[in-house]
Amino acid sequence: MTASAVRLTDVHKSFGPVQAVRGVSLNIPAGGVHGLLGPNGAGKTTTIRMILDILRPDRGERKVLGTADIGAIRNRLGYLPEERGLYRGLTPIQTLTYFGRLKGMSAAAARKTAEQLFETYGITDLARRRVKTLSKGQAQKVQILGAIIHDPELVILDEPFSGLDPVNQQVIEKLITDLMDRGKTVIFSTHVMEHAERLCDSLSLIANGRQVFSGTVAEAKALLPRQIEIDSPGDLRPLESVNGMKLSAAPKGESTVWRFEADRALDMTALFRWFSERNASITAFHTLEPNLRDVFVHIVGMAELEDAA
Amino acid sequence: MKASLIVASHEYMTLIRNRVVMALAVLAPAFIVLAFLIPNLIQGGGGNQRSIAVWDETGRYGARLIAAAEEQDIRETIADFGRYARNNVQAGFRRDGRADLTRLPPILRLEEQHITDQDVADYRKFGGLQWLSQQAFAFLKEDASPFLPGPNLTRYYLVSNPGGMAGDAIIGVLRTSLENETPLPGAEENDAPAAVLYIPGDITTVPQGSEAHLKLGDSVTVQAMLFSKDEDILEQAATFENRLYNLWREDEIAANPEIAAWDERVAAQRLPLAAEKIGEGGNGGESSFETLIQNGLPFALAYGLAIILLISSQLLMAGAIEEKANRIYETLLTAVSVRQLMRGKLIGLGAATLTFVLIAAIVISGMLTIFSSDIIDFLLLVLRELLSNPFYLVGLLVYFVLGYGLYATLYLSIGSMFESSKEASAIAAPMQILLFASLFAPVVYFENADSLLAKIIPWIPFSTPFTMIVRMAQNPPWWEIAGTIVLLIVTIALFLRMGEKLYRFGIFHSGAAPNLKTIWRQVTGKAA
Repeated sequence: MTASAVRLTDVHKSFGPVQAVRGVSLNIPAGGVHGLLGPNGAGKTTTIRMILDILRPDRGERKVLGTADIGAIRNRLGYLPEERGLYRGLTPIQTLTYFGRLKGMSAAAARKTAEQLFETYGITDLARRRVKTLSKGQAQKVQILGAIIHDPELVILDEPFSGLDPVNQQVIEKLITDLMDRGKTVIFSTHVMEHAERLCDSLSLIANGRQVFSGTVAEAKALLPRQIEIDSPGDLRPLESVNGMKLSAAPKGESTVWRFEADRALDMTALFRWFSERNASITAFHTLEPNLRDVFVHIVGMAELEDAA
Repeated sequence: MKASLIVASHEYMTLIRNRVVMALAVLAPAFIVLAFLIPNLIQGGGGNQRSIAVWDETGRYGARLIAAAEEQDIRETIADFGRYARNNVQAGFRRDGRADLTRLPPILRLEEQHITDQDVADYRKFGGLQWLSQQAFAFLKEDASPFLPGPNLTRYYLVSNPGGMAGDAIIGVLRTSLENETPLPGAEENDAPAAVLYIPGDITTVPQGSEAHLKLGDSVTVQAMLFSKDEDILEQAATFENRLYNLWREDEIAANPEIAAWDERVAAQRLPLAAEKIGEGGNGGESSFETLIQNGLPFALAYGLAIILLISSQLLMAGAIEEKANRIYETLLTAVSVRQLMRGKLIGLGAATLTFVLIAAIVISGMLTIFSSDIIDFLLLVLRELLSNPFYLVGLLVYFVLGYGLYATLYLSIGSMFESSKEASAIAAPMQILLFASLFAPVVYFENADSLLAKIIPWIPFSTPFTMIVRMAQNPPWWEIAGTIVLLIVTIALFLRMGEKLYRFGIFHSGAAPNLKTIWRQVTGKAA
């Protein structure tokens, strides 16, 4: 059985009358990349802050890297907060050295590691400029390096891609995959489903302070029916008679492409038998898996409906 | 503790490296010194005229005593001008190599011990101070610093008994006149003297316990008395006593030559002339250090602490606001606890504050010594006397540190809740009023030390550091010192706990700036 990097059990947190987190339970295995998804105000950042012990839950249990005493393992955690912040008057090298020292490194070791990180991620030229002279993207890269300077076992990145151009997003993706390759556990929250789809081994979806999904990307996609596109000049409406097939879009204009929703339990043999028996003409046949965005919209929509009810 | 020290060293280095803060640390004390010196410059170094009346019942000593005092004042004035002239010549030499002390007028070349009766006579003959100034300026020309030494402007006059009064009645009249600042009855002078030297008719000036006293017996205990509101004048009691003794000795030797052979150490023994401070009860016979400690220095230190608190609290708040505005807290709190972070900031800024105090002390001392060589003697005297009273020094340091801890914790907690100085000012302003109000505590205490308010004030934590810095010079009972220190420590611990709550709240608080009600609810744990 894989050890847990983070285990939350029925964790609650309120701010005054606002219930920010309502009974979230997470079990994130050690190693790999875990995505924490959810709409704005869903409770992702509050959940992350509780994992890091920046906030204490009102109730519920937390275990991080095998211990409930999170204060004792601070130096094994790395964190990029959603609200970025650096000392404007310091240089990146001074900043990273300070962060490294706070995480238990000696000043010399922190400085040396910082230099290496700047070199690895191609920003050596920024190392001795004042933070206030850096662009937002440059400052963000510096801050992410600050989160990993002490080589933590668990790295939590809150919206790491936010505000970055595609080139810089690639740099962050590389950083995450590097961490993953080195056996670290990475948790990141994001609104960009493409990143989650590309990078995550597992996902948790939080909506309105509740956890509404937890599992792998494939398991998330399996929550929605797959789409089947069939290019045929004939009339395929009768195809709905096959168990599990439902017409979602008939061709329009000169198009001959029919679109069906197909149950996960659909027997493909029965489908092809139907075509064969009717000698139907088909020029193309595609099965399409739902993307994570559709799954996200679907699950969040369902959660809102449930809460409204 | 290690994490706190890392935060502390970061805070310290950040402040020390800040060029603006460092420039202020140097320039602010320089401006303060100039602010004190400019009025001196405008006044041309002059002081206030004051007069000392001599009420002589013997009819033998008064006039001679006044003559001796005036002569001594002249000698000091000549010596001060000489020192001033020589320093300026030497300053000119440092600047462009022009230094020829031999061209100085002879009277300005003299050290105090070499000033003769003839020099004093010349001073009187040629017009006194004005003549001396002309001598100096005529030679110095462009090298003349405008910071003239302050001449001794004390005026002495004799007062005779208007008739019939004796003993306690005379002393009563003297006390009343000085207390009410009215002219003495029967005095030809129509001004209120700053002091009165009373010489009883049956005076003897033989110090008790001296060889002369042993020979003459216990009958010789009648003392001369010096009355004044002015501590500076009371400090001269020993000088008056010496003069009086010398005059008495001259007379006695004339009548009884044997006295000349008596113990020459008499003059070095404790002098019996009684000095009485008018207005706040008698505390005569004290040393200059005791006077210094009991009055000026403690107040100066209390106000110094307040200024330092004001500056350091602003720096703390600015730092906290910057971290809140720049969203650095969250990163820091994954590495250290709120308590460690607060503790580190308090230590770091405290150390930086002490550094700035040291810089300010060096700048102030340096500037003052440029303008007056006497100041260095004074500073050394203060330093020596402070070091000779380690109990006071330790007490001073303890209250200083605790005072800093108290106010700094409050300001730091408040700073963490705001994203701009403008927002913070709504809460910081009442805090500063509290600080300034607490500064009046020592004044209230000294107005009437027996009042209920004066008894309560040292036990109000906000005013404790200031009041006790002043009180320590009065040798308060041990339980008052121990009690107020414990109270301060408990209050600081309480504030730290409250500060942690405010800090946690402040870090993640967004939207409108919190008001006092919100803050109170957080502190008391009644937040909705």
